[in-house]
Amino acid sequence: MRHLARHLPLALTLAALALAPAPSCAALGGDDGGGANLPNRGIGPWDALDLDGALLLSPPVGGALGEPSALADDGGIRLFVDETSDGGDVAVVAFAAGADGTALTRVGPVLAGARDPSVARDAGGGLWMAYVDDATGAIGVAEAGADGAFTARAAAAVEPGADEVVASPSLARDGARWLLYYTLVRGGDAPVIARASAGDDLAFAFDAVVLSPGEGCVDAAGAEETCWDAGSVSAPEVRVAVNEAGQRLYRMFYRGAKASQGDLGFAASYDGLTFSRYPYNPVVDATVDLDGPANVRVGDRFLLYWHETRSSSVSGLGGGQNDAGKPSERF
Amino acid sequence: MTHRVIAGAAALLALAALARPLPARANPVDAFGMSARAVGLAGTYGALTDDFAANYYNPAALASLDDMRLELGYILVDPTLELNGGDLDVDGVNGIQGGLVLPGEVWGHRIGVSVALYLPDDRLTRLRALPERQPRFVLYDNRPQRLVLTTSLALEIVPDVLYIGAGLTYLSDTKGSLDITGQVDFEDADGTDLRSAVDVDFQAVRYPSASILVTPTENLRFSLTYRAPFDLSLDLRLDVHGDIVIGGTTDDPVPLVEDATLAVTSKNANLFSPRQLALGAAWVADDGSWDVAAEVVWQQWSEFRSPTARVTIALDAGSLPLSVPPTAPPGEPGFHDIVVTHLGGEVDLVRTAHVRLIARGGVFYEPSPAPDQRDKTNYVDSDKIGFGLGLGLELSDVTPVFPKPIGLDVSALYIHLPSRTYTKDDPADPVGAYVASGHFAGFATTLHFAF
Repeated sequence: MRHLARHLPLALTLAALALAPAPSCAALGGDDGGGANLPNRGIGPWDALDLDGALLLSPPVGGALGEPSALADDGGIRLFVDETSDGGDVAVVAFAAGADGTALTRVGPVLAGARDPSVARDAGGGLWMAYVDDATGAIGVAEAGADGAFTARAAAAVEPGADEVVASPSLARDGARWLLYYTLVRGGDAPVIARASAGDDLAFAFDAVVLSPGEGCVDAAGAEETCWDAGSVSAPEVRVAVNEAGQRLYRMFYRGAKASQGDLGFAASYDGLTFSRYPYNPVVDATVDLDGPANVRVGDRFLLYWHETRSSSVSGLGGGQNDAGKPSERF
Repeated sequence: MTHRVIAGAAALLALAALARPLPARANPVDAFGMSARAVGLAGTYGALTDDFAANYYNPAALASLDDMRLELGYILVDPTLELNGGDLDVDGVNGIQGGLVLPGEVWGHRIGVSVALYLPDDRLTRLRALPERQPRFVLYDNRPQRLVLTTSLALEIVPDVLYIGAGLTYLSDTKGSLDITGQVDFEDADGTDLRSAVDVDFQAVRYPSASILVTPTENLRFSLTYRAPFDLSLDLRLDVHGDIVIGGTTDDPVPLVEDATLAVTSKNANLFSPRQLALGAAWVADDGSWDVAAEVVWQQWSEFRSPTARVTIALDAGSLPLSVPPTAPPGEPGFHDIVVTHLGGEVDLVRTAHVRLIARGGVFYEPSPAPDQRDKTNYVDSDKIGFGLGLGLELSDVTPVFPKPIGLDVSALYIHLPSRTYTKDDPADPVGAYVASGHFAGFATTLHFAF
């Protein structure tokens, strides 16, 4: 025992060396990890902006607001929306928003006689706007000047054909071409989403109908059911994005409806013509009518704005944000 | 000789256990290794094993050992596993490793008996079923998060040439049920009266392995180890039986449906380790001052089943128009078998009568068994390139109390996962494309006493 006692310190020292990390490491882990920083495409879910039940932006007394278009700048977000005054004049008004996307300061008007604006940048950073001409119903294109005001080009981008209505354009720059998605109504048919494209000459040519009202939906049991957007699809907002794999994507938020009340859904495409619906549509499902979605990414957050009609007398702009995980698409 | 008697008795007990029909064995050391020496050799250990880690790498080697050994150590592996450059904070592996090796002799043949333990700091085991679409590094989600307790028995068949061995790993399956009975008031919650009972069983399961060690010369060693597959399940069941009534708060409730039932079952099989066959070879110098080893391990990942819970719901509400749509079964993972290659070696840096300092190193390459994830699932994985580096210190005859060597092994481990890009067929896939990458960094220590 004397020998053992004499050499016990040696054994204990070696044992301490072998187990030294144990006490300090015992506190690590144990939090069921593995779920941090998951890829987030910014499709949903959308948490409504905390506005205490108020609208993000309400129209002037007696007037109305239309569909918004969002643009991310270095200084934050700019919203463009058509505003109808009490006197009935229509003008696109730019609203500057702060970095949080909720503090709005009125700027403008930047273009008169225009509805449903959609703003995009060209390769040089210049601003362009597609809009619906309030007088003719055609889709026009305007270019921003140094003072921020837009000047409309004389020629219409998309003239509605006989017995056609076009609305809600979405302008996107795609490499060396312009893409124009818009709502198309032919005769008494349900609204669909169509695309036209053009080079730098802005001579748009019709490409195809890219999204029609939903059909062929099945429930979880495999039984056929009416799609949430079986009645109409309209008001597209398409962004050309790049994902982490370097793939080019065409992200579309749109309005879908079974009947008169609309919700917001998402679809995407690899070629800009063949769109696939998000499996968990609609992504914004409210008890009020929603229209005119506008999506933007600011840092690690995605924001979605829309026009909502709460009643015949209450309407304006609402919005939501999604900041879960790590953004995986740039646009 | 006392320990040889103990070993003989233990061997008989182990033989009795082995005589029963058993399923398979596997453990988280598949991923990172067991014992500091094995970690330093990057897992190239089947033909070189001489410690408690033989329980995993090659049980037959236990019969070739001469000394009783008591070993204790620690392993820590910290993962940095990323999607699109963001760390998912996957749980690390850290816990105590150790074991006891008892050599002996039966009817003129050497035997060896051993027990080994890996005791995690954080949790004894984890079973969880993530949503099918949620990305996860599937091989590092649950697999390393478990306790390992193994026992092995080895027998020398041809003296100094041929040894055989077998081992058992003990684990627990979990099966639980919640039974609810009573009545449900269709209109008034106060009229609902339910009674519940919970029944959960942790059922012991055993998983075997077996191996052969051949030493045709003093220098040459071959090993062949079989490890059976392993798949822990978590089965949960909810049964609700009762009447649906109106006026449950009264003395005379009106039954709408008698003997209505709701049965929900969830079967979750996500702690899996594949069937393995490891073939190793080693060359040991005449004086034991250096050795080199190689090992190839076939792993049958094609048997990997979906880790997503299979949920079934059955509702019988009589004439009431209530139904629950069935949930879609999870898709098959489509993994494939792989072959892992290990290389390692050791050399004496210092060797005197009382002190021996050994340097060791190794490398392994493990291709990923996971296919591209082009559809709903996101079972993320990548190839692995692992490096081990270690030092071993042995002190011999330092005191009369410890005439046999006392040693301390310290090893570092680094595993690199090259970037792997996942894309989706559906451009509207909720998760979309992503790039997976990462690495593991860790170390292991083992203190060993020979008696």
